[in-house]
Amino acid sequence: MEEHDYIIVGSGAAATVLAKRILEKNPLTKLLMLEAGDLIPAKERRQWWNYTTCAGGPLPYQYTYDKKSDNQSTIGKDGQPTWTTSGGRVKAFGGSTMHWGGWALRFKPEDFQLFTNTGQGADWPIDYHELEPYYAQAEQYMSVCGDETENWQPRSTPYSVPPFQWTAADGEMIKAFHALDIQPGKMPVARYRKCMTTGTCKYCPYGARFSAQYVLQDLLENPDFINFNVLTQSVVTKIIAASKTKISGVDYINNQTNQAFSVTAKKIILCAGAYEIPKLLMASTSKNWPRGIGNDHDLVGRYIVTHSMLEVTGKAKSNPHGLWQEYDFPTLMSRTYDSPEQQKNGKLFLFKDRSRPKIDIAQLMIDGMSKIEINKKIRGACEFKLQAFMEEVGQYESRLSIGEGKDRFGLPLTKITYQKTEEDDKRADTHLALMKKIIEEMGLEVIKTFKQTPRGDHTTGTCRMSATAETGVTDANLKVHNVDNLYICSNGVFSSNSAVNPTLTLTALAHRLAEHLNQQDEVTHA
Amino acid sequence: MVQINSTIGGEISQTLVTAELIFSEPCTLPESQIEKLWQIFSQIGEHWKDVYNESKNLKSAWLEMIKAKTSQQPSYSAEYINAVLVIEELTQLYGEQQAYKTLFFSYKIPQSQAENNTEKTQPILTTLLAHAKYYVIDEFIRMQVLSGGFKHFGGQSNASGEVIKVKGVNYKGFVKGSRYRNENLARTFEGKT
Ligand SMILES: Cc1cc2nc3c(=O)[nH]c(=O)nc-3n(C[C@H](O)[C@H](O)[C@H](O)COP(=O)(O)OP(=O)(O)OC[C@H]3O[C@@H](n4cnc5c(N)ncnc54)[C@H](O)[C@@H]3O)c2cc1C
Ligand code: SF4
Repeated sequence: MEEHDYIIVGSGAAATVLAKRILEKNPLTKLLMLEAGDLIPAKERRQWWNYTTCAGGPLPYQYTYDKKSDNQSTIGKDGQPTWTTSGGRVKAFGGSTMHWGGWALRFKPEDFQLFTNTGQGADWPIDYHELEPYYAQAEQYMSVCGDETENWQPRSTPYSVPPFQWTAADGEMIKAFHALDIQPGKMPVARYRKCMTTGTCKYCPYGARFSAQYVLQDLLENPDFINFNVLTQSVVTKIIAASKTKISGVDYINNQTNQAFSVTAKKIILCAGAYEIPKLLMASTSKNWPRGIGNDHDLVGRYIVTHSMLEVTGKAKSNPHGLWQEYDFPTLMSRTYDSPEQQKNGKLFLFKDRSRPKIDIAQLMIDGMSKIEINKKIRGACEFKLQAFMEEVGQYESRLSIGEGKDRFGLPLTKITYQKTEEDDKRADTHLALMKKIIEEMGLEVIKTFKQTPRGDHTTGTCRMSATAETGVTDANLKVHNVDNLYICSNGVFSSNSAVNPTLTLTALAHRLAEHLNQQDEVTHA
Repeated sequence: MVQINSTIGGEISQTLVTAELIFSEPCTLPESQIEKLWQIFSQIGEHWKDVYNESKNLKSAWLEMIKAKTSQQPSYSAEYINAVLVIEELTQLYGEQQAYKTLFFSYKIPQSQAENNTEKTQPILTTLLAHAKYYVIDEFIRMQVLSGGFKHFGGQSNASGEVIKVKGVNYKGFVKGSRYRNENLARTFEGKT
């Protein structure tokens, strides 16, 4: 059987950076990528018209979402699951950046030292300064636009593209921020190609919002990369350990033909996301690894955590200038409460809801309103919403494990044992009080406050990176502790969560890992 | 005040069908059908007065949408043919002006009753008339608004509610963009930073 140089499991944002960097360094690398999902057309006009003109705005990748009925999370006091799995990821060629928002924020230096600073959670085995050059590469790679003069953290390079300006609809919130000593900022977003500000970023018609799919397509179309292959509908079921320290390859099933295959490689990189990687490790039991690979200390799947989303909605009596948030993506944010001082109380990343004031002119017409009635309505009462991600600390008892049964891709279902701590609830209430103050400062009546059930969009922690095998699953180079040739590149390796979205940090880690692997390969070839 | 009316039209309009898109193979509609559909689309601008220079500037984008929706599965060809027939019947019954006025401003697709407050009501698409409104008129309205119709809304108004300053610059689905970074792509906040 032919041995590959690399097998990469998954084809999302992390996988794609690794493939690109490895192939660019050595175009003849024998690299096999295995992806459970199928190709979903991007930039497809019919799909875009469906999204923008049909009732409910259907999106072509929604069928890949976890079904609500598959959720096997702990049931809370309200009879509902304590963790929402549905809508958290896309299983397809190119992975979840098919539906991401493209917000691309760096973590801050203190995020890498959570335990040292607060006595809670864990420190990362690397620090901000070590990751900083890779953040710069990641921003360049995804064409992140932003405003470096905001100085949220030290940076060696400016953003590659200037930011989007605040909209007029941001104005009143910006004034309230100033009145309360909160620094407003411009949301950095990944705009890969020329953005036409259409605001339909969940399905961008131009390929402007970064998606790993475009990079992957370019790699496959590059005639120099003759040994690069992506197999879709190919579900990896087991990692094969040749010994305690060496992995020989993986088993997978082709979902189209139902055939099972074994493939071998010198190095294996797991990029299957923070849900599937721990399940795959746990399912890969053998005499050497009775609890699954990398799981001798029963840490795989533990410390699962995500952001709590908090919301406060305010009602304005009127909207005299007839404003709406014209981009349908957010332009205003603040990291004032995402600070070292705030760390011990749970950091808070504030942003204005991307769609409010929400004015659906077409719907008002569909409902039979005349032009005058619609304009009156637009200038009448309207809502503004302030949202935030609150940092939570991963708990030992919070754990992801293999559920009973399989989904329609043949992946084992996900069981999540999770209970929000009392401390997190208290913190959320304190933060909501602050957010209410901002809404009130805008002169609005608070009509709703809301704590969202944790949703898996920003899941981290399930394969923690750590200094020792006793405290985590991978080392600082993302290699599974005590295994020579198995790597994990995923939000799952984050030792702590911060208050901001994870993908820029994941992309930076992928650049760093690619450089590490390329250096290793150079030494081997020499 | 909008009159709720779900029983307009004659035999064609009230013919009973199932809720799903009426089945048809992907095909190219004849020029004459497309022209009739274009007349329906143009009536949106006529009635809401939300286009400059009639609707002609939107024609190529509209044709692109029609092609995308008829040349692939699920195909809208039968829905488009149906909408033309329904409107022809309404026109015969009420005259052209009144037919569109009724369809745009007073006809309402009947809605299912929500079983509890958390459930959304659903449109009941059991007549050809409901199909014409839901799959054709409503989608044309969304297309027209996001392609530029929105610019006639928002901004300030005079005492009688007429817009005196057109202010909407961008809208979800509108291709704004610019090669020039310093051009404002939306109404921006000009205050102190
Ligand atoms: C609605 C939404 C909006 C978001 N917006 C943002 C945002 O604005 N900013 C941000 O930073 N982050 C955002 N995220 C998070 C972001 O999408 C993820 O962080 C990122 O896409 C993760 O990339 P990945 O490569 O680790 O995994 P994925 O992109 O999920 O890729 C993993 C791939 O592995 C495949 N796979 C899994 N198991 C197997 C197996 N056993 N065999 C073979 N293949 C397998 C899957 O099918 C999938 O395609 C958002 C998430 C959601 C849900
Ligand atoms: S605003 Fe439009 S062009 Fe820009 S990324 Fe979003 S969908 Fe694409």
